[in-house]
Amino acid sequence: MRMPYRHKRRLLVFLSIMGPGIITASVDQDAGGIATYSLAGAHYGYSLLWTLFFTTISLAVVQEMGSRMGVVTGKGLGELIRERYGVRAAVLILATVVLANLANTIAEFAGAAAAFEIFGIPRLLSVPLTACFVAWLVIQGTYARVERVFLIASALYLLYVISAFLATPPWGEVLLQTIRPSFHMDQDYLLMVITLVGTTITPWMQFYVQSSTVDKGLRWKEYKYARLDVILGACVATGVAYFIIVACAATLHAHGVRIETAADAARALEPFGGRYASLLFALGLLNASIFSAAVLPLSTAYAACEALGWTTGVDRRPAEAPGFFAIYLVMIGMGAATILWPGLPLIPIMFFSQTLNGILLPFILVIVLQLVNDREVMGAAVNSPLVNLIGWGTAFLMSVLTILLLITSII
Amino acid sequence: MVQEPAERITILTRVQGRPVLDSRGAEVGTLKDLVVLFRGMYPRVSKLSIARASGGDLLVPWEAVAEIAVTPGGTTMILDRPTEELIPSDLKANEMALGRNILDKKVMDTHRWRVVRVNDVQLEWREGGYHVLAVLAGMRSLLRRLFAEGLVRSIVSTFGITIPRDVVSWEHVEPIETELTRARKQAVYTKLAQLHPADIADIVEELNPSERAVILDALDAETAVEALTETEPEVQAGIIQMLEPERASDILEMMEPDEAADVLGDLSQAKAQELLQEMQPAEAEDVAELLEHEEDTAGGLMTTGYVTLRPEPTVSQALEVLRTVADEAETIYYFYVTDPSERLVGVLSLRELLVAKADQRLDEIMVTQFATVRSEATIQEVAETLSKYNLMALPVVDAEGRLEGIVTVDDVLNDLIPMIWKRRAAKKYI
Repeated sequence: MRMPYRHKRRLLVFLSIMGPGIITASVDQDAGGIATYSLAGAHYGYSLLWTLFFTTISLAVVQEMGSRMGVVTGKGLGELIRERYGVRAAVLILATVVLANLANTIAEFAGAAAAFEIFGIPRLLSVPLTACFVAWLVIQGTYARVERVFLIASALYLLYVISAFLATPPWGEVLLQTIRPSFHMDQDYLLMVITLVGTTITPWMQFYVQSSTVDKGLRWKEYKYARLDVILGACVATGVAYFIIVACAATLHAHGVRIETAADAARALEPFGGRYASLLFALGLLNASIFSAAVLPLSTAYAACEALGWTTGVDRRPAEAPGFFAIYLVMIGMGAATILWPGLPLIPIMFFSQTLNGILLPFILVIVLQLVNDREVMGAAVNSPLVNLIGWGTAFLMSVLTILLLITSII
Repeated sequence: MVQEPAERITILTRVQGRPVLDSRGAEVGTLKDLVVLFRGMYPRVSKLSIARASGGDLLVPWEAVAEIAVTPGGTTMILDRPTEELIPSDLKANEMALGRNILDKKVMDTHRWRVVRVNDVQLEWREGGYHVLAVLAGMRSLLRRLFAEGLVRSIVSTFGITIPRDVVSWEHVEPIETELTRARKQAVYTKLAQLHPADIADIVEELNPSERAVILDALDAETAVEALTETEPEVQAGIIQMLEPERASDILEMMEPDEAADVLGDLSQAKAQELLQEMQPAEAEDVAELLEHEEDTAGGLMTTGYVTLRPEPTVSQALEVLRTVADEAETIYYFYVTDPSERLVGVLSLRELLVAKADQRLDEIMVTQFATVRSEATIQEVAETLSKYNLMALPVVDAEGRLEGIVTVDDVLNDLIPMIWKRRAAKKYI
């Protein structure tokens, strides 16, 4: 189908600037992300800001590897896993990813339910409606058009930046905490650190950034732009996280407020939004939740089907790609159905789904690192020693944190 | 010559990982891969790749195999000499390892015009050796790889369900070779090249953007252009973007100017500029002119691939001219007669030219009452005019009546059909 020339050109210029890296960064701020950053700021003040410094570097390096693999091989991560490790290992790895992503999808529906509850709409009504809307978006093929709306609406996060400044935090202390690492050996603290990293560097984003790079069709010569885009995206993602934490610390932590529901978290926007804070927060959370509730199962279905050799594509009829649509719809159905369980606390669900991401991250990282260092896969474009150091270092540190968490929870 | 084994037909994953013994019965290692030689319809296994227990791989020619013993556990290959007398060999240019390059990879099925992922490779014993018979795709072979043949069989018999087999004869299999996995020096997609360009387009559309470009790059220019023209406009732009600029501009030059303009219109402005500069000036100018117009107007739809004549020549002279230019022109059903300032003064159909006497001048037989549209006309107006006068093509003129291009009925149809469908059903197209 053709589109008017001028319209199309504008869209393409827009997309060539807003590359996969930036889009991935926006998708990164999903319901789980907002909940985790808000909790980190509200319960630990500024004391966790230092982790973001290291997370930014790790995120940029890890995403760069995915993007580079996409450009060099022209294949998605699911495909590469299948081709390198064979069917059995691929099914095992992808089943784990599907389960982890299911937990994330549940969190997205928890986010949507929480946002609707601020408007006074009960989850029994809002969750099934959200699920139907998301399923309809993709099956009808309207998703690609709506994506831009989601992306533009992601700009709502900028409100946290304004709010953080209006709350006049003690900037001297904020900056000090940003560069001075501090560490505690208690269970809640470890859990928070793992979750913070897990929500920023997620396994599913590795799949997402690689396949969106593949779909964009970049040549190796143009890779330097893609790398810039990915690094920029990583900085934007953690930058937003930074201001969410600062805003929450300055408003909630300063007054000793603990976040029990989404309405508590919304108060972080009060310096900017005043009495409209809840409304703005709810809109931002709703946009993030619905956006990710569409993208996450979609990228999961793509990865799994590519590895299994099943037909994929949102432009196909469900009968042509039964496996693809089944995975997509089952994930949405199960994600929504879980939230309908009466009295389920929404904020902990959003939080713990991200803990799971953090615990699984080392596994996915090891696979990514093996693939990206394989000359048969990557040719001369394998990792430099520095990139390897950061990549393996991240995987190692996350494993150590997980083991420490296990030890502290047993003792 | 090796004795025919008890299992005449086997699959790659059943022989992979099995022990290989030497003539004294000592284990050389396990079978890692089978190497085939590309010659004939069903390539013959020419070498064995053995993973040594001591580490490292050993490539042994098939001629060193003395016997194939089939035991309940699977197949065991026994070599004709002791381990230390084995002569390692190298992979030749026309050889490819099945496990490394075919198994778990995507291949093109030139019979059903699709891309499948290979779950297994079927081998048949013929004339003293194994030959590749087919690749296995689909659910059944997938389940067999995941679990075991016995389990799959018992599922089938217990639940009374049928799991369909998906077998693609090697006759129709075309491996996809990318820059890095390229086993052969220069991939030649002979099976693919024999298909109709529209069928090539169907297969190519199922691939990833970079694979599309690699494959179209390997086809000869004419086939590549025809196949490219048959793919969706978005896919065309993606492929052109992935090709080297020199190759991309060559392809754009060979396309009809209106099609090339459509592709360039889908690219970023910088990329389109780069390619226009790379193209031959004459072709680039044609395309650049068409790019100026809004799509879905007569200007955006029109092509410059038509034939103009002057009013003075005779019919026989005109036919002589046509023989030399008709090959290049998109439409030869109509000829457009213009005066020296390029103003359209008459239209001639092919029929009128053929039935006229050879010595008649063109201005005696040409039609001077003809329909035209301006370049701003919408696609609906163009369609209505075409239908009202039962035309195959419609000239587009500027305010002074100078001929700018023509819109052919098929270009209008290409655009109108999706619009009509969209109105009828809610089904959307991305």
